[in-house]
Amino acid sequence: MNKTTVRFTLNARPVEVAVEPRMHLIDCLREAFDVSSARVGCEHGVCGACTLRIDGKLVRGCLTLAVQVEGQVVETLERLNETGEISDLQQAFHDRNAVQCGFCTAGMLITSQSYLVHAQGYSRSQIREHIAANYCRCTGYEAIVDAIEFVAKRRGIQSLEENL
Amino acid sequence: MKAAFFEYVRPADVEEALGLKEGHDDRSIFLAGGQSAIPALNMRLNQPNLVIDIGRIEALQGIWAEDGGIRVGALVTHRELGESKIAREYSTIFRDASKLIAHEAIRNKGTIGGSLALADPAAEWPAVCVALNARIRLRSRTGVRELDSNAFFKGTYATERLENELLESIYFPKQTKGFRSEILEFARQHGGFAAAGVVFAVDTAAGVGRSVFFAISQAPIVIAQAAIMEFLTSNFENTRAAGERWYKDQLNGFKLTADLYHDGATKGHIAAVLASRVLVTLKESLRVERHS
Repeated sequence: MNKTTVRFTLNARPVEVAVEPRMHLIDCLREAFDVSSARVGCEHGVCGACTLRIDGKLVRGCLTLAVQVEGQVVETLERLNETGEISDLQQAFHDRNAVQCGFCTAGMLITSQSYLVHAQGYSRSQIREHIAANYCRCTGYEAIVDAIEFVAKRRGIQSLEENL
Repeated sequence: MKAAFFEYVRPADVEEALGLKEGHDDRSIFLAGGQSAIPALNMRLNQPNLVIDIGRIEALQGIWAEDGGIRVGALVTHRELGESKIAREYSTIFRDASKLIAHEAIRNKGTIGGSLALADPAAEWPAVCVALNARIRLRSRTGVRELDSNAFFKGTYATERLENELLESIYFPKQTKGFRSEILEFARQHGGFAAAGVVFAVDTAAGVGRSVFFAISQAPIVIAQAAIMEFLTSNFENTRAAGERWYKDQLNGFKLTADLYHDGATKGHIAAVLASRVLVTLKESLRVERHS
């Protein structure tokens, strides 16, 4: 089958790869670039394990074809780790055991970071609503919500619950 | 699951996209945001031989004011529409409906045009369009036609769009001063597919309203309420109970379709409860307005 050459920026590095059009971005990142945080979960947009950033926006990697990211900026957890923008969040997940098997963690961290960056205020129910986009089958979410709430407080985001 | 083989093209403009479609007929699909199309490809529910990615066509983007209403390009994402200032000035319904659609990552890519062209019975935008009397613009190589959204949706994944037509934009007409629109849905999980939902569009000046139910049947169900203001201003002891009864009666004549968790009767019940809650909300906000 014909392959198409795609050029994009992966974690701040320009890359080029020939892919079959049917290949989704997560398979491409894993197979061509050994990106281990790219997780193949449900492959139909439900579980959130494959969540990453394209041009700064949160998207599902499994619902993006690799050929579609031509010229775009793709960032996975590796990049967020490198820049240090989520070091407080990583520490909070670690401190609270918000990780068990770890499969959902990459997507969970990226999704939480997006919540924290955009939040005008935070509440536990809002945090839950936001991470309902990501399935975790181990922790029961409580520890994850605790970790995100802690970081929200630390980053000076106002609690919406105090105002009730 | 992995998609079957297909060829991929990314046309630069609408003309080129329509030309490609003409050449491939039913074995090709348009790809917009891909938030429903790619799952269908991955699960091999759809196995086209050509995917025409219209996602970067500039002419299909944007939201603008037009003759007192607004026109929304087919590629406007759920998030863009929910956060748009122009849309917000026209109605709060876009902000409220957008919040109910899946999750941030999906809203960042999924488009209103894709949602309308797919016509999933549980989708919010088709009901919003029907409630607000929106017109859907379709373009083919031979010309343009604009359909009333009420006539556009035929059933589950079925619309009036022909294979050689591209859904180009949606026009929401000018509304009266007393226009009000509300949406409410019930889903088992936040961001999940609705089990039942309703969109209200009320003209408080003329005293008429309509409620459009989604996720309970193959296509949106419209219930016009000629004397809605009478209902909203009358002194019922219990608006919610009275509303629920009224809506149950109204929905009785329709064929309601089950999903994995709810049969038709349950959906009808939930729908009536939702509608009665919207009535209460509307009634209370009107009372506040009159007294302020």
